[in-house]
Amino acid sequence: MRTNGENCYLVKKTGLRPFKRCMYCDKNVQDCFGFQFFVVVMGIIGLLLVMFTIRDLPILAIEITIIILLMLSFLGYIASKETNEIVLTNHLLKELNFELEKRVSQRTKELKLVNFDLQKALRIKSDFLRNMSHELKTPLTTVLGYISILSEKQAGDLNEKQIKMLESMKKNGNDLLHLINQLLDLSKSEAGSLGIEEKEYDLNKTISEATVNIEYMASKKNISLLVQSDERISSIFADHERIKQILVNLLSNAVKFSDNNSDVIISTKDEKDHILVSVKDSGIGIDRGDLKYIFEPFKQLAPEISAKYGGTGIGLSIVKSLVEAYGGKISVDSHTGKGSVFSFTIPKKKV
Amino acid sequence: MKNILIIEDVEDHLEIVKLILEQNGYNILVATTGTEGLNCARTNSPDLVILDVVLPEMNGYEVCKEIKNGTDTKHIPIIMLSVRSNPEDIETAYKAGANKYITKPFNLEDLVKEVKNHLGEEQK
Ligand SMILES: Nc1ncnc2c1ncn2[C@@H]1O[C@H](COP(=O)(O)OP(=O)(O)O)[C@@H](O)[C@H]1O
Ligand SMILES: [Mg+2]
Repeated sequence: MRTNGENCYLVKKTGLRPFKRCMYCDKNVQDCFGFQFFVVVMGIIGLLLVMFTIRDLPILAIEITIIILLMLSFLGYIASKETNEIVLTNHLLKELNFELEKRVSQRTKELKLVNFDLQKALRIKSDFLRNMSHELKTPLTTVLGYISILSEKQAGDLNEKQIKMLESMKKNGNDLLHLINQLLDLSKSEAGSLGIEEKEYDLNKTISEATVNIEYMASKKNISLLVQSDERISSIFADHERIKQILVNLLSNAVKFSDNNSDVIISTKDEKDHILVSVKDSGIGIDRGDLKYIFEPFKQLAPEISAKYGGTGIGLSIVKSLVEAYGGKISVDSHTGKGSVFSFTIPKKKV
Repeated sequence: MKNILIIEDVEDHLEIVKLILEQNGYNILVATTGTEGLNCARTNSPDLVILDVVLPEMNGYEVCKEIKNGTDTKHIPIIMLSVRSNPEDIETAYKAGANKYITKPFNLEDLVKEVKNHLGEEQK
């Protein structure tokens, strides 16, 4: 019964019912035969023992010969039966194997097709995002353009209230533009076409260009941006626009998720075959269990903070794509309540 | 007074560029399709052209090429202005002969700066 149960399970999993059943059935038949023969032989032996006690020797000799012959032929039968069984099993195994191989190759083909479809879907999604981003920029150009003209009083004088409103409109419009640009970057990174343009450039300059973008936000929270650069590093061969973009994202997070009056430290270190750049803060930190999620697009662990300072949850996923696009690595070390260190590598390349 | 031709099909974008350039003392010519823009450039020979990419009839790259191929017009600086920000788009523009490519939304001051720059005017 149990074998039957197992059998059923196997059938469901592999769909190989006919072979399995055939093998089990045969085994039962054989067992049955063996038992019957055993009974018959025991009977004959018993009979002979009786005859042995009451008859003369010559007849006994003949009878013993007959019995031996009978037993030999029975053994022969068993042997041939077993050989047959082995041959049959072998044959079945071969067929099974063939069947399995056929199935594997068929499934591989199917998977290849699915994979192709998935990649196509991904491409369509990226194209859609890209086109959509461009479509969004057309009306935004109008909105931001008129806001500028109005706030420069080129369309007449403004009162305090109007100036304030326009300022808010400008800020929000620019936030929207930033979001659209991030979406564009995300779609490009998914399509694997983030253009990488490498050239010789001063890494410290790249860092100071990045900090300029964050200074306003940092000064509002009275956070100091400190740079500790390895003196051995001067100019490096890399895509500096991309590195700047990575730094701006990491720095804005560091400032965003830190308390007022703290320090954010940017450090560089020459490590043989690569340069290590780290951004360290002493902010809210990230739970150990959450670390694996933060590089996923749209993942935010503290949505209230992100909402307060602006954020979409795609910064880190773009950072990861950017770093990986040029062959670097990103890592994070963080402790809840103590702060975080985000580090990425820039491989050294010969010019 | 220097003449600047704006070739742009989005009415509001045209208005914004026109306003800001007039404010800076330029005389403005406008065209809203590719062919109209090209004809205008040939007949009026402006001092500078501001050119959108997506245009009816003839796109901005083609207009740019035509202007840069004409013996009478090839000296005219062209600033292309577009929402397209892919590296391929920018490369196509420079290959077509554009002098500068600015992405929309653009900063009004930056646009004025570029215009002055390409007209060879002094900047402080
Ligand atoms: N320096 C940091 N300290 C604490 N949490 C962080 C830090 N950087 C990122 N995170 C967490 O990872 C999430 C994803 O970051 P990111 O992709 O940049 O999105 P956003 O900044 O737009 O919220 C953040 O919402 C935050 O929860
Ligand atoms: Mg962020």
